[in-house]
Amino acid sequence: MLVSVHQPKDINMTNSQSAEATRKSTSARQLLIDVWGDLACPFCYIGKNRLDQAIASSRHADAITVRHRAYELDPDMPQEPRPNLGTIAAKYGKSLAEAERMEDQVVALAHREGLPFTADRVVANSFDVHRVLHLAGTVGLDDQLLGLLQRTLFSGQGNIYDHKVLTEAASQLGIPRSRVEEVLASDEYADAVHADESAARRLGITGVPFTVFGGQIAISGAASIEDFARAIDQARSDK
Amino acid sequence: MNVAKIVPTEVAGFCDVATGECVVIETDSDTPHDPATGEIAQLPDVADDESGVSGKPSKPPAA
Repeated sequence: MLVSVHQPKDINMTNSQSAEATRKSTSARQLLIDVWGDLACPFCYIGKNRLDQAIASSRHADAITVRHRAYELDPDMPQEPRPNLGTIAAKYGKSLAEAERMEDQVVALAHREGLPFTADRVVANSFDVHRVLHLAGTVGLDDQLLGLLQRTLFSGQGNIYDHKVLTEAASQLGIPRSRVEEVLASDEYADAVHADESAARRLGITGVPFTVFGGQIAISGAASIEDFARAIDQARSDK
Repeated sequence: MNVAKIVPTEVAGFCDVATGECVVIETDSDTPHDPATGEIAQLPDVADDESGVSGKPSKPPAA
């Protein structure tokens, strides 16, 4: 099951239009915010919620574009989904009860921030999700799709690693189902995912989320709304 | 891209890209802003501060 979304867009995904959308979204007056992260990262979910609030409260909100950048926390993760708690238990040599206690802090934090969040979710290889996010990015819908996928995953309402679920989520936003299926059946945008990860290494990124404002200043981790807001203002004033 | 890193006042946590560990941060509140200007402190380069987070990691809660 997918979390519902608002304001679906009707888009035509031709290459020329995609390129135009990208150009418009990164015009000179726009502040581009790049966020490196992974689907398995709960702090990317919490951090996105905080960044979204900072942007919403900014007087520059209409001139801000957020771009998802891929960073796989575990590129060797199998394609088949597996229970989150069982994966944690195996990774750290713990019992399921101990793994659940390890997640308690994150669950409590997310709930305090009003985010649906459960430890009872799945994990799997995120490479294909990142590729589809890059497809969405060609028409400026990557941040919106990421939010939908995070809410679906962390609320325990769906396995967003499943191609059918992923396709349904993208199509909810107006991305043509056939185009998503085409990407998933190929290696399209694989280079883009690898390029993101190479860029992350060049930047010396050691943790996600990692947020870069206007290509100038960066915050590592799920910072506070106030910190994100100050970074936005500072990046704008430096432009 | 050559970026300067901001030291935030509070970070809930992060996931380490080397290990995949996700770490909750217990925040120190005395790090971040220049008392003279109120500006966020900036480091000269990303590589100078690899963690980029204030506070102390508590335990690894999630993979």
